[in-house]
Amino acid sequence: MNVRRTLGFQLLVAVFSVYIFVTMITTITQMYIEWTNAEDEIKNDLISLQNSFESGIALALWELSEEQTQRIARGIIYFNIATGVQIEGKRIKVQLGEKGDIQHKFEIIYTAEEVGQRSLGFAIIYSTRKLIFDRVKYSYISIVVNAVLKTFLLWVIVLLISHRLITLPLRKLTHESQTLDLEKVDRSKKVNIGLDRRENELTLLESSFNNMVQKLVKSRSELDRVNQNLEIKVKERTEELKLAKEKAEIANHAKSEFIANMSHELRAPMNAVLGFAQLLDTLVTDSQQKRYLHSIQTGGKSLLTLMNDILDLSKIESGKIHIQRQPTHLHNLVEDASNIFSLKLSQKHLKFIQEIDENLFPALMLDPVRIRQVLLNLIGNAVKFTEEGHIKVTIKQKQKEESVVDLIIVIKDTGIGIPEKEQKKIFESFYQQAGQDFNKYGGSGLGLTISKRLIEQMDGVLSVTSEVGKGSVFKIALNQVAIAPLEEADVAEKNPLVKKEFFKPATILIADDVESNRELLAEVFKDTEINAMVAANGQDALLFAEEHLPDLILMDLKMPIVNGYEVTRLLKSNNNTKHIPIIALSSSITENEEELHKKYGFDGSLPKPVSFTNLFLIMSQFLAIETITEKPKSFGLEEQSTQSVPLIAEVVRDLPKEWKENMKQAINRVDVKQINLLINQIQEQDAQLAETIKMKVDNFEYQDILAILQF
Amino acid sequence: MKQLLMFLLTCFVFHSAYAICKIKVRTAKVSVGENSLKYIIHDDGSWSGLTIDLTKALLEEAGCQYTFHPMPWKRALADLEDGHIDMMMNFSFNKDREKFAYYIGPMDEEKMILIVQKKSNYQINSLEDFKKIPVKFSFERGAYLGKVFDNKLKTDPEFKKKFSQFSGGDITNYERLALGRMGGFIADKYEVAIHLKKFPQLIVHPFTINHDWVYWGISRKSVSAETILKLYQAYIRLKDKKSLEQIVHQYAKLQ
Repeated sequence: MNVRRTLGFQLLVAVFSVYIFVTMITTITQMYIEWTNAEDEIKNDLISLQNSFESGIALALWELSEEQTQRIARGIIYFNIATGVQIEGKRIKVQLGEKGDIQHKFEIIYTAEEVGQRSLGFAIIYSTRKLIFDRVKYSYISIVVNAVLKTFLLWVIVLLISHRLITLPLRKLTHESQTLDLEKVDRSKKVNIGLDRRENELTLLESSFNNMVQKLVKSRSELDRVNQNLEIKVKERTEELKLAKEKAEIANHAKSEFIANMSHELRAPMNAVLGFAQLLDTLVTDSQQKRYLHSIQTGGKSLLTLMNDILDLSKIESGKIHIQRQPTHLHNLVEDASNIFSLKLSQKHLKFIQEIDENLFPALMLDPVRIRQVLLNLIGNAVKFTEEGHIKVTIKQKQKEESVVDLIIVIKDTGIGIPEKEQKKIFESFYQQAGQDFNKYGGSGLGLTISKRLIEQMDGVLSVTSEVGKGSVFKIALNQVAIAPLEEADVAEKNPLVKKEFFKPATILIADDVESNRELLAEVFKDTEINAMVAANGQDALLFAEEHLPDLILMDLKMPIVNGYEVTRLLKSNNNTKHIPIIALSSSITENEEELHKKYGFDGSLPKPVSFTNLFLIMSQFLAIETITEKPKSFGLEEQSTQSVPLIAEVVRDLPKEWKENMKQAINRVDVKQINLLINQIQEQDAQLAETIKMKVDNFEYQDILAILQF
Repeated sequence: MKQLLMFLLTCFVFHSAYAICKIKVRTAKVSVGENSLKYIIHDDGSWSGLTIDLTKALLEEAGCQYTFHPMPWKRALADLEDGHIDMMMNFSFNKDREKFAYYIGPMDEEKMILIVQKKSNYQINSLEDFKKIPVKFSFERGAYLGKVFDNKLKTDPEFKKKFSQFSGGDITNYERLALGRMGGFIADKYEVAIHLKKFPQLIVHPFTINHDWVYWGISRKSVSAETILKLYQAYIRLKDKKSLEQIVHQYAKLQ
C-alpha cells in the first residue's frame, strides 16, 4: 500500500505550520525591533549632532554671527543623517536642507561665567525614515534569509529524523504486516524496525506486533491441527455417508426388487383367485355360497386395484415415472375410454357425450399412456358414481402461439356429487368420501391422487367442482402443450387401428426362459416377414446373437444361468453385436427405462404382458416397415359410444368359432397365458377388440368377456 | 491714623532717593595680561583701563552699583536692546541704535584706522578703493564705522564682499594679518600702537575709516528713567569737575 502522506510528513507539516507561523511572528517582531533600533540610532545620531554642534550654534547665536551659524548649519547637514537643519534665534534664522519626517529639536543655551545660562533660541535637525529603511534593509534581508535558511535546515533535519525515527520503522512494520504469510511464517519470525537501542512507542509496537505474530502462528498451527482433525472426521463421515448411501441404494434396490417381485408374485395368484371366483359364480347356485363368492371377488378386486395403485404411486413418488411426450390423438383416447366403459354405460343406461373442439389439432405432444390412465380413472369414477343421466367429456383448446396450445379437458357427470368440504381431500392418498359405500363403489382411494400427480408432472392442474346430488366436474388444464408436426402426427396415425403396417424381412431373437412367452411372441410374427428365433436362457441368447447377428433382440430380464442384463451388457461390449437393438421385456413395472439404457445398454423396454401395439411401435423404430393404408374395422369412431355394444357384437361375430371356443375355455381355466396368446391372435385383425378384451382381463372382468363372446 | 500716613509717605520718598541702581556693563573680552589700554582685567577679576575707569567714574558718581560683562559687540547690542545688559561703552551714535538706547556723553573720541602689512602698497584714498584691492579686510562684528561706511556697506554689495567680521577684541587679527591671511583690518587707533610693537611688519594705513565721538549707551528697556536721570546728572557733575579729562590724561601718558 502506497501512502502518499506519511505519518512523518504529516507530523512535519503540523510542526512546521506552527513553526512557520512562529517564525513569521518572530521575524516580523525582529524586523520591527530592527526598525525601532534604527530609528533610535538615528535619533541618537541626531542627539550626537546636537551635542557636537550645540555649543557652536550657541556661540554663533551669542555672537549673532549669521555667517558662523550658516557655517555650522552646513556642517550639520554635511552628515547624511541630517536632511535639513533649522536654527532659530531671536535675530538669526537659518534653514538649510529639507524638512524630513523625523525631527530632533533642542534648545540653544549659551553658558558663560559672566552671563550664566542664556537661552538663545532652538534648533531642529531633520532626518527621514528612508534612512531607517536604508539602514535596516540589509538587516531585513539577513533576517529573512536567516529565517528561511533556518526553517529549511530545520525542515530537512526534522524530516530526516522523523524519517529515521518514525516513517522508516512504521513503513517497515507496515510492509511486514502486509507481507506476513501466516502459512509460511515460523515462530522464530521477528520484525526489526531498526530502533533496537531506543525504547519508545514504536519499539513497544514492534514488540506487540511480534507477540501478535507469535500468537497468530500459534493459533494458526492450532487451527491447522483442528482442521486436520476436522478433515479426518469429514472423511470418516463421508465414508459413513457413502456406506449409508450404498446401503440405502441397496435397500432401495431391494425394495424395488421386492415391489417388482410382489407385483409379479401377487398378480399371478390373484389372477387365479379372481378368475376362478368369477367362473365359480356361474356354477354356484346356493345363495349363501354366492354371497361368499361375491365377497371373495369384491375383496380380490379391491386388493388388486389397491396393489396396482400402490405400485403406481410408489413409482410417482420415487420419480421413476417419466413423462414421455409424443404425438397423441386425444380423439382416439376418448374413444378408447368410451369403448372400455361401453358395457357399464349400457348396463347403467348412461349417455356418454363427447364434445370435442372441432379445431382440435389431430395430434398434440402428450404422454398417451399417462393421459389415457388419467382419463380412464376420471371417466371410470364418473361411471361409478353416476346412476342416471350422462357423462360428458369436453375438450377445448386455445392457441396462444403458433406451436403451442392451452388444453382443457373436462369430465362432467350427473352423479352423486362431492360435498364442498370434501373436494380438497379427495386428492389425498387413501381418502374416500365420507359416508361412501365401500361395498358399492370399492376403490383404493388412490386413483385421484395418482391422476393429480400425473397431471402435475405434465405441468398441468387437475381440479374439481361439484354439487351434491347434481354431479361433479373434473377439469384438466394443460398449458403450453406443443402441437405435433404434421409428419409426426402422421406417424401417430400409424395406429394399427387405422393403418396396416408390415415389417420388411428381418431376423429377430426372442430370449425368454418361459416357454409360453417365447411361443406367444413367436406366434405374433408367424405370418410376417420377420424370422423369429428363440433362446431359452441367456447363454443361448449370447450364442445365437453372435452367430446369427439378428436385426433386433427381445430380451427377458430374468433368465437362468445368465440374466438379461448381463447378456445385454456382453453383447453391447462386443464390437460384432453392439449395433443390435435390444428391447428389454420386463415383468416388473418398476424398471426404469433410462436406467436400463444407461447402465446396461438397452435400446428400449416393454412391460410384460407385452402390448402388441407397443411392441409394434417400438420395433418400428429399429426395423424397416411398409405401410398399407386401409379402412380398418373399428368400433365406429364416428358413432356415439352408446352404439358401441352392437358394434362389438358385430365384430365378435366375425371372429373364428374356434378362437371364441378356445378363449372361453381359457377363461374358464383362468389360463392367463392362453388368454393372452388368443388376444394376440386377433391383434392384427382387430386391435381395438384385442385391447378391450385385454383390459377386461387385466381387470379380471371375465364375465364381461364371456358376455361378449356370446355374440 | 495721621501718623501712619506720614510714615508711609516718608518711606516712599526715601525709597525713591535711595533706590538701588545696578548697572550691568558690557565690556570687551580680553585676557589677563593682554595689551589693551581701554579694557584691562586683572588676576582678581577686577577691571581697569581708560574706558573702564571713565565708566566707573560715571557710575560711581551716579551712585550705582555695576558689574562688567565681557561679550562680543554685536551680542552686546542685542542684549542692550533686549535689556539683558544695561550699558555699553564706546557707543557710536546712529539712528538705528537710538531706538533702543539712551546716549550719555560723549565719553571719548574714537578714530578707526586700517592696519595693513608694511609691504602692502594699497592705494586707498576712499572707500571705493577697497573694491580694487584683491584681498579681504575685516572689522569687528556689529561695529558702527560711521555713516558713510555704514551706507556703503548697506548699498554696495561688492564693497560688502571685501569685508569679513570678527568677534570683538580678537587680537589674533594681528597674527593672521602678519601671516597674510587677510588684507588688513579696521581697529581703534588708540589700541593698536601697543600691538604694532609686537608686529613690526604691520603698519597703520594713512586712510582713516572713521573719526567720531563715542558715548555711553544705556538700555531703554532695562534702565529706568530715574537711573538715566541720575547718570546724566552724574555726567554733568563729572564734566564740571573735569574728572573725565583727568582720567584721559592719565592714560595718554601711558600711550
